[in-house]
Amino acid sequence: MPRVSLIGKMHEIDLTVVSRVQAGEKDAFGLLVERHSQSVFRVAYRITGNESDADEIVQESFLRAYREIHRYESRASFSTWIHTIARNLALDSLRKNKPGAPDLELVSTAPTPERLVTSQLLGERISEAMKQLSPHERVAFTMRHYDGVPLLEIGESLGLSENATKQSIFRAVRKLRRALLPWVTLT
Amino acid sequence: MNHLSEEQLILHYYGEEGLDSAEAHLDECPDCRAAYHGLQRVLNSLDAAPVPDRGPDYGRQVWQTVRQQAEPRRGWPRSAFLLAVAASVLVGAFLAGSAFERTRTPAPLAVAAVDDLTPRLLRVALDGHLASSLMVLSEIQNAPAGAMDISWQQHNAEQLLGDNRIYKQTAENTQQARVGQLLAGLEEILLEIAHSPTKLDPAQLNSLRARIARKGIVFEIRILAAEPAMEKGIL
Repeated sequence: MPRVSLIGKMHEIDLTVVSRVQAGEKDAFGLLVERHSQSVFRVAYRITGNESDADEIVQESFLRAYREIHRYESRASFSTWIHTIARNLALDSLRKNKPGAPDLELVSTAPTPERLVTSQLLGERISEAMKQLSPHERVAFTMRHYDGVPLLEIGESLGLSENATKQSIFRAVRKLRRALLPWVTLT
Repeated sequence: MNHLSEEQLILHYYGEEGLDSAEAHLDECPDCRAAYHGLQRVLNSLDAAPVPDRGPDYGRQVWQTVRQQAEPRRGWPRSAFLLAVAASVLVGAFLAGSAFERTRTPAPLAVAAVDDLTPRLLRVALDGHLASSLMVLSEIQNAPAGAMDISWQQHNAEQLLGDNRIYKQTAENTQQARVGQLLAGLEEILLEIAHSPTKLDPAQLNSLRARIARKGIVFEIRILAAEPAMEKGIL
């Protein structure tokens, strides 16, 4: 089956389940949780870089969706809706608990050659690099890079103009490039 | 020749704009091509970043937590909550033997502690259920003469039916005959409302009212609701 048709079918199934929940069959919401919790975790983890924070965001996202299910409209897919909730919560979490670097400054993160040579874990390296991003940069970059969300939609989601969204992503890429290029070059 | 800026290279990587002209320039310009390959290496490396595996039961675990957190605030899904109440009642009854019948004689301390919460939970839940049922019945009984759209009452009756069955079963299992009989009568009326036409003409409305009146269910609910828990046979 072509990918587009499969996605369309899954969207249809989600809509059917949402209708059942909205009609009062609350336990049907469990089907949505089981289907989307892994992807919501990925979204939350890539933004926060922390497993327990991501787990909390997953639970809070579904809890909010459960309570606000009557507000859901089928214009966006359930997947888009729940991912947006998760991203907003992740952004709040970054702002409250773990403020990142200032939006307009580049932070020198060039590691020493010794550290590069001894570093065995790509995940750790990337995780460290991601921490150099400000909350907005991190969410905007994650949306564009991992989730393939168009710039315009990222801006709408974050309340930024298209140009400001672009600038967030440019800054994010510059910081990541600066942090990772020596490592990527060496490997 | 104007070289591509870093920003243009980033946009090109994400396919955002000017794909054709950037592609053509990269074909011709070795400097820009090298810069682009450097950017590609960094951004492609990010795709290798591992995301921890949550395991196959993750969704179920999340749903259990969400449901537990949502129910106390919203009061639904009531059927799940009431099932828990019913289970609690049965466990309490099992542990306490005929504790419901012996409440006037002091129970052993350990048994009393275990069973202390169950009757209160049942009483609270039953009172809410009876109040909601009474509202549905009263809406029909007190509606102005003529045709009536009972879609709201039907929706509520359908929701109340599931709860009612659990209560009735719990009452039967714990030998609360009077409560059980009332709930059996209520079930018949709720079923009738749920399966009636949504828009009742005056004759159908009168007929439904007459059946509710014959059962005397509204009166019985009011009497039971007004009684202290002890007299209901719940405590």
